[in-house]
Parts: sequence; C-alpha cells; structure tokens
Amino acid sequence: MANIDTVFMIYSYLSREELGLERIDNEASAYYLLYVFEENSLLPRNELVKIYNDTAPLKMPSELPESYIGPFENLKDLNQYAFALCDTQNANQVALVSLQNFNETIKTANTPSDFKQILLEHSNLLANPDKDKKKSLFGKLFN
Amino acid sequence: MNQPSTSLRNFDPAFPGENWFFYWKTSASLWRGKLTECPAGPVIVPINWAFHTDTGENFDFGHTKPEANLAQLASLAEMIGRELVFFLPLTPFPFLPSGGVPHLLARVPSLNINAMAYAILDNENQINKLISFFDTRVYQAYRKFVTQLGRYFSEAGVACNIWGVEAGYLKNHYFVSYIEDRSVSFTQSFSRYLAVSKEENLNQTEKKEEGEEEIKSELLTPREEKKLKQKFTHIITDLYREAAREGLAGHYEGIVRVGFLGGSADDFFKRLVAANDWNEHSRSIMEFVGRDVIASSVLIPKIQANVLERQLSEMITTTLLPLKLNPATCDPEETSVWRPLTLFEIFERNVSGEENNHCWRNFGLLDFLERDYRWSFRVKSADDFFMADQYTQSKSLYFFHGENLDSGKLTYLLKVFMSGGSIILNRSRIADVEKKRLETFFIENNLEIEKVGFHTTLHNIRLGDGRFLVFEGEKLEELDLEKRLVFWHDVLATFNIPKVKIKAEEGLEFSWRERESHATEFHYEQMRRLSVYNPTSYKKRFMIELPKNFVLLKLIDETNVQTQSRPGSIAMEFSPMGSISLDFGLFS
Repeated sequence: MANIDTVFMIYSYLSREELGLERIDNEASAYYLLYVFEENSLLPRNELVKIYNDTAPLKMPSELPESYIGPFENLKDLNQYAFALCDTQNANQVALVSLQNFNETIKTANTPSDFKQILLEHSNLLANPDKDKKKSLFGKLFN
Repeated sequence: MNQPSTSLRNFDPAFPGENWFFYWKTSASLWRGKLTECPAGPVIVPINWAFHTDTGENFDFGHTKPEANLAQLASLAEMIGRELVFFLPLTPFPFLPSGGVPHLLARVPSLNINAMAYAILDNENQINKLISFFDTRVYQAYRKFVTQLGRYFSEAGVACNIWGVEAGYLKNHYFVSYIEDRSVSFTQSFSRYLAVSKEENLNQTEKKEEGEEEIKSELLTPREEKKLKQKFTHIITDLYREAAREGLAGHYEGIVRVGFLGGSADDFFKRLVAANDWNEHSRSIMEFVGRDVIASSVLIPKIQANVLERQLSEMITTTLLPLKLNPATCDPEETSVWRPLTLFEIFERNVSGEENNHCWRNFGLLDFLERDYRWSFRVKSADDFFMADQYTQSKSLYFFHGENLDSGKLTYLLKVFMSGGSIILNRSRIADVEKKRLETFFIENNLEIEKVGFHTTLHNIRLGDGRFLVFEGEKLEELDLEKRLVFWHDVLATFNIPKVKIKAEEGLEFSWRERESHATEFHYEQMRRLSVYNPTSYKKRFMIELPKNFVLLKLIDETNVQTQSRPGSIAMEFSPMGSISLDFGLFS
C-alpha cells in the first residue's frame, strides 16, 4: 500500500431534512462526511462505505445522497472512523475539518497548494498511532 | 471580410473556449488581431462587472483603461466582419474572482445549498470564490451598473445584443444556478421576506390562490421552509433579470443558461487532487445539452487535439449556441442548421432538482430514455413552456405535470393536441379547476376515452393524429425501477417513435442532430447526424443497427477510428480520443 501523508475529511452536522431525506420523529441531527481526499485522489466511496459498515455503530440509510458518508452520532464516533480510515490507508494522519472551518479557510486560499496548507493548519489532526506497526506481506518485503 | 482561422488558439487566456473572449485579459491594442484569429461564429464577450468599477459607484468604459472600452471592441468587430454577443451576468460568474462582484462590494461569501462556500478552480488553477447576490448592496450596485451600461451602449451607438446569463453547474443530473445561496445575507433577507409575508397573510382577507405557499405559523416544517427558500430565490433571481431588462432596454435580448464544466463543488475537490476527468466533462456536455443549457469549458484547461474540443465545437459552438442566440434558426423548416434531435420534451416543475420527489426521474422516465433514446430528449422548466409555434409544429412527444398547468398552459397544451401533437400528462396533484376543464374538453368534443390499467390507470384519448395520455404519476413512484422501465417501454412503444439500436461501450458519448433536407437531398425526408466521441484512454467499440429507412450518406471528421460497414449495420472501433460523425438520409 502506498504511503499517504494526510487524509482530509470535511464533515458537517446535518439533520435528515437538510440531507433531503424524510423526517423521522425523534431522530436527531448527526455528523456526515462530505468529502474525503488525500494528496492525489478522492478516496473511492466504496472503500469509505466498507470502513463505515465495519466500524460505525449506526446504519447508513440506503436513501442517503451518494456524496455523504454517515451518520455519526457524535465526534467520538467520527474520530473512531477517522482512525480506522487512517489505518486502512496507511496514512500518517487524518485532518478533520468542519464545514465552518472549510468556509473560513477558503476565504484566504488562492491556489490548491495554499488551500491544502491552510486547511491543514485549521484542522483537527489525528496522528495514526499504528502507522507501520502491522505490515502487510508487501510492506514486509519492500520496506 | 477577414477569414477567421479554423482552429482554436490554445493556451491563450483571452480565448478560454467556445469563442468566449475575455477582453480584460489582453491589451486593447491586440484586440483586432485576436478577433481576426478567433474561429468562425459569433464571438461571446462576457461582461466583467468588476473590471468596470471598483466601488460600484463610478464606472469606467474606457475613460481610464482602454481595455474597458466595449464600444471600441464592438466597433473593431464590426470593421472586420465579426459578430459580437455580450453576456451579462444575472448570477455570479464562476470564472471571475468574487464571481465578478466589484472589489469593495465583495463582503459576504456565497454558500451553496449544502452551506459550503463556493470554491471554483479556473483554467489557470486559481481558486475563485463567489459573493452573495442576496446582499442588498450588491443588488443596488448591480442596478446602477446595468443602467449605466445601457446608457453607455445607447450613447456610444453599440449595436450588439446583450444576453442575460444564468450561470450554473451540474449536480445529480440537474442544472443548479450559482445564485443559489445559504449565506448570512441570504438568511437575513429570507427572514425579512418571511416576516413581511406573514404580515401580508394576516392582513389578507381574500382567499389565497391555489397552490400558493401560505406562511401560517411561527414554526415552519423543514419541507415548508425549503419550498419557501426556493420561492424566495426565484423572487431574487427575477429582480436581477428585471434590473437587466429595464437597464439595458432595447439592447437586451433575453436569458440564456450557461453550464460550466468543472464548476461544481464535487469538481473542485476532484480537480484539487487529480487531473481533469475528461470522461465526466464529455458526459456533462451531453447532460447540459439535454437540459437546453449551453455548456462552457472556460474553467478547464485546454489540451490540444482533445476530443472534448471537437465535441464542444460540434455540439455547442456550431449547434446549440446559434440556436439559442438566433431563435429564428429554431424553425424546424430551417435546412441550414443542425439541431439537437429532440424526440421527447420533458417539462419539469423545477429544473434545479432541489425538490427531488415527484419528478420524471422518480417515475423512471429519464432512466428509460437514457437507456433507449440516449440524449434524444430535452428536460425543460415548466415555466419555459409558453405559447409558441415551435410546439405545434414540432413532432416531439411532450411530458407535462398536471400540477404545473395553469389556464394558459392547458389551453396551449390542448392546442398542441388538436394540431396532431402527442402529450403525456401526469395528473397527480393537478388543480381541480384544470382537471375539470380537461374533462369538460373531452366530453364537449365527444372524444372517446380508452381506460387501461397498467401499474396505474391510463386514459388514452385520440383526435386525428393527436394523442393525449393521462396517468397517475404517484403510483409509479411506488414501483421498483425495473417495473418503471418496463412501464415506459410498453407505453412509449404505442407511440411508434423510431428507435435506432446502438451498442456503445461504456465511456463513449454520442448524440444525434437533425435538419430538414435541402433541395438537392429531395430523396430524403430528413437528415440526421450521429456524432460519437471517445474521451477515454481505452479502445472502445460502437455498433449501430440501421433501420430500413436510414441511408448512410457520408462519414465526417474521422479521427482515431476504424469503421466497418456491413449490411444493415456499422461497426466502429475507437482509439483513445477518437471521434467521428455520420450523416444519414431518412425516408418514410
């Protein structure tokens, strides 16, 4: 697996109605991931969904618009997902960015490299504690 | 008259694509040479509001900066025989910093419907942010600008047309305007609108018009709030349209929608971390054309000999753009212009797709047409259905929602039916008045109503060549997709709409165009042109089975493609970036 430095995750706190879904009584708003990307690519949705299904305590509604991953009941669940993703991607760290922080960051960014740098400074960084601890057969052979 | 060059100048920031000319990106002293080199066809000049004023109060039309002299530009174009068409923003323009709003007014960033700040990468890899058009200061300054612009055009004798442009992007198959906003400016003005509307409701004693949203209580359900936000957005959009129409008076031609490739939030992130996805851009061009929207590539970098350039040139620059800017060419009898083939015209309540239920896609119609009649249909806003001869002359099959009908639209729909046209009407949610009028029309004209039960109740009415099919759309929404596809297959089979069997590998894009036959083509009733593009990096196969009334006349612009003609079919193998067009003559 390729070494990834940082995985960026942009999330928002949304109600079902804000997602365009039918309202369900007593169902509170939750955190949802909007965009997940690393230096060179957007992470494939099927991988993100698989990690969600393996780790998240809540079930993803089948009618959820395609670009979202969630729901996460609280930030703890979101962090847990971030760690799992970090591990799967063999990334050094995850940068969790709220939508509000994204909106602030973009004001001062003029180029993609500016943007990524400023985004990093305004994110909640979670380092991968297990990075390189467990290596795959490929990892053992080539690292 | 100077002969325009035949190829697009690559990497010239003043010509970012499809004959768009960014006059502020080059010296006025070079304008003449550049206009001469521009490919044939009208030159599109988007007006850069911020370039003519910093403050929104004082305007420069060449008094200080020669590049701001639009009259000089128009005069040069006239001298060398080039037609200029000005595009005035009615929404933020994504290729301009702050969306084109003057520097001192650029205070409140606009947020998209997911409350995310608009961020758009332009073709020079700069991030453009958009400014809210719901800021009252922006609106007031806009009014001043268009009034000054109109006065300037009149005084300087500029004879070019100005079109108001609603700029947007593609999201989940829908065109979404860049005016959509959820910023603090939007929220504040929306609250004021709610307060005023509530007050008006309290004072109002007359009965409200049917279907009109009523603001009853302090607490709105999220669904009601969403609907009112849409309505409020339409009101503000209309204010900008009205300002442009009034300010520019005789110079103003109307509104065109322009969709920008690479201009959505999804595109921003994709382009941020990876190269442009040419397959997706290629598909988006078709989706825009299918929504009657002019596609523009000004946000994406140009790559020489890319299939996308050929596709844009054929589908937009030489087809849709002239049709939109010169409505006279819409005449089906016009033989010199290729028009996108439109077998089906689908009128949707809301083309922005914000309200996703109870639409033709949910009924399975668009999935069916994309599979069996790919890109031979147009999805339009019900508001765009107005009385025009184009509908009574056209042979398209019309789809309409009953709830979008008012007295005028129903009258015209019945006129289309009586002229031999075919209509499919979803009668769910139709207003009682229109429902009764429709029933009365059938009874008064002694028309036989044939009733068929097939997943829903179908009422079939015939009058000469005309057909009126009425069904309950809501019943279809409950079915799984496979059953909905079978429904449309069986229903449309009764309309005898000719279908050409095509087998295209995934990634290939193709489109049909049509025109009437010339006097020299008298053997044929109509001419059709099929254009196929391979924007992928792989070899792809394409096969077409020709109906008996199709005659292959010629192959045009073969690039990286091998063709093999067999009796009744044509097989093609496309190398990466391959493309071809095939002309057919059709007889009865």
